Amino acid sequence: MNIRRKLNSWTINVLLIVLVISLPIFIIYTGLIGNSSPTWDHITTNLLPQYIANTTLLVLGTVVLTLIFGISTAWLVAAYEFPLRKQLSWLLVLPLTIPTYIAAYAYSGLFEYTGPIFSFLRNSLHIDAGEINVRNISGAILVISSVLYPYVYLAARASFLVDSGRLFEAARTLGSTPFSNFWRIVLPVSRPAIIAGVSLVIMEVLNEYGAVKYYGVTTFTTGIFRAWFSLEDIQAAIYLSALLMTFVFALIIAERLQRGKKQFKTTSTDSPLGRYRLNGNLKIAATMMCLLPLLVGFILPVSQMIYWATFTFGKVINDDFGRLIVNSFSLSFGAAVICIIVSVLLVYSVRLSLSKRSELFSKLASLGYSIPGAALAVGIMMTALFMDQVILRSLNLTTGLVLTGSLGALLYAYVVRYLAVGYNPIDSGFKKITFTLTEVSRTLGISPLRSLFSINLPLLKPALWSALLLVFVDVMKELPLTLILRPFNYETLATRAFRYANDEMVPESAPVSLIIIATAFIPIILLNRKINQTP
Amino acid sequence: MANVNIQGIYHCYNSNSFELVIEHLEVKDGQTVALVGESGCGKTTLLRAIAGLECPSKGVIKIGETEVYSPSTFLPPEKRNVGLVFQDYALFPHLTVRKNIEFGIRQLTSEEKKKRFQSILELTNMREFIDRYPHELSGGQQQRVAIARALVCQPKVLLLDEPFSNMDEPLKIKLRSEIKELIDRTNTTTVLVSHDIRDAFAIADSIVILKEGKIEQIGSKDELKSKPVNDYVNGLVNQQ
Repeated sequence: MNIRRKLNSWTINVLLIVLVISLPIFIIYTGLIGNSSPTWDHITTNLLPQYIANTTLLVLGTVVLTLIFGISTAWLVAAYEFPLRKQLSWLLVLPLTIPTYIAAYAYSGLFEYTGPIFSFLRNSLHIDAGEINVRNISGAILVISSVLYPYVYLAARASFLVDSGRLFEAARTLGSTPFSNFWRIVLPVSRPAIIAGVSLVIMEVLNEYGAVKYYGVTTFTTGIFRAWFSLEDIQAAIYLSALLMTFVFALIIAERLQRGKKQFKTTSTDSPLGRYRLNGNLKIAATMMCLLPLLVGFILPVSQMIYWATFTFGKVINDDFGRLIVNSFSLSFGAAVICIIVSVLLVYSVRLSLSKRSELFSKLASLGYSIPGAALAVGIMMTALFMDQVILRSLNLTTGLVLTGSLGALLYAYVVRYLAVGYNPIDSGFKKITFTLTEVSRTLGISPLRSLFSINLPLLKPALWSALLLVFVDVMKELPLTLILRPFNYETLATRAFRYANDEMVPESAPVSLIIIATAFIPIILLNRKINQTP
Repeated sequence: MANVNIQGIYHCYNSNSFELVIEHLEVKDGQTVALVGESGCGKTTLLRAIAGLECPSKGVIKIGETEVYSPSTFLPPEKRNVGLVFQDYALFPHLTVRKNIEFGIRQLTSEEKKKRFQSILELTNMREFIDRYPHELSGGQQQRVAIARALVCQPKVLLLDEPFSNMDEPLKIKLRSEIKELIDRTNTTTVLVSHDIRDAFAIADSIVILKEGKIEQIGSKDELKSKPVNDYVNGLVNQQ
């Protein structure tokens, strides 16, 4: 029997899932067909150049800083032995627990006239140094870089440890010094991994809303919000979203192309990098260099939040606070469960379809993660409005909204955006389960669906848990999608923190922010376990 | 080219689970010595100690007149002038064959570099793929590049770590004779590590049989075959 039929039910499954997930993207592009409004002319003339300039500067600045922070620390912990190296190797990941908007609030407070730094200088050292205004684009670059550098750090460190060891040794036997080896061998070989890390940073910067809004930096994302909420022109919001998405897709294509021929497929086996023991001042300098990003990206903002929380805790803890926690946790859990179910169905269908095309299509489903939240929100809103019209027409009603402004639309948005986060660990998990197990069970008369429940899912448990956790935490931290799509008066921890900050009640946002940070700790502990398993 | 002298080397891994003890071992100028034994007997550790990639607990290693390792000395690998060919070749994946070969001779004048490069190309016969990347080469071609990269530096000693593992038998036979010819033509002092006694018989002048970190016997192919010191050596050399 030819089981490689071109279109079997599993392939149709894959196509259906991909269609539902990518619908908002298509709908944004179909929205381009409409006529432009006078508002759009105003945007293109007066605002768009600034959006482009600021977004470009923000991306470039963040990329440079995250590269410096990420690569230098990754190289130190991978190649040298110095005090606290082992602890720092995972502590350096901690800034990832802090959403950028929370770091932005903390830094603004740290450096204001009445903040702890300048208060200490005035009161204890009698130095009136004024204040540093971080609420500008330079401040935004520094703050965003300080919490996003772990993306580069993790990618570079893994590559330094796994891919470079044997090549590094070979270069040394050929007379090349360790410093020269870093530039000539390690960095070029690790380039694809580092670029992958930088790509994640760029996606996060393009998705950024809370921090840039608070710091008064107008970017594409703030532009979308402005077009929609202030200028009340959805068509302009669609144009901006389409522009931003096109830029992201161009970036993805460029990233794929640069891999090209120079894929750097190493012919050598993995070999851990041997570490040099640093002595004297060098070892202290290495420890300090690694402590600096940790201090800037984690210790300082969290300390500021804890300081604020000590005197605002009583004020914000009330019945409403409990509701916020329930809202955030239930929404995150719901989105995570749906992402897991869709991911399992998608990966399993791809496996059973035995088709390369299905595999290719399934990759489309993970595109949502690269689309900035504000742009995606526009797409989801358009999709919801379109579906509502279909429902109304089929029920012969004239008014009413079913999906628009509902929790269902918000959950749909989360699934589109975070499916990739759940998909990747599940896909890796499935790859570890040999397909012959499913084939054997089928020869024993068990249907593929039963085989999924009785064979694959029990073996997939660790991957399912980690996928669930990763999506859960990402949804907890999410801001732009939730701000745009939440039902009227519905608040989560993230939107409440944002509201406090925008009402100039930043200290009140601290307890809420600390809960978000504490939740994000769980996957970091899991990540630490994984890091410890590597040499 | 130089001799290698190893005295009283002791190396211990993972809290006494493995010990390498070499009282004395000498590889003479231009000689090819094979270290043979089962997996985990310490042959690769010894090779890496000669290269400077492993630091023994005690003992002395001399390459030529230079003491590269002793309790008070440790010459880093980049200063030992040894050519190490790894089991997996460790070719730099982002560099072409030409750049891989030139990697270790960049400090030479361009004229000298060109001369060395041309002579190694002739010797290894790989003119047709010098502009390819390592992943575009076959296993045998990759091995030739790895050897050329080591030999172009005119190392005092060439170290070969399991160069024929993961190869099928016909290719092994072909490459054994190719390597033997290269070593003979360049007259390079060579230390070869292998778990397969046939590699040693095909290439080495002298064979060192190692078992659990200790030398069982040293001798030529004929000596080992005719006068094995114990059943282990007898079993190993007469296995074919």
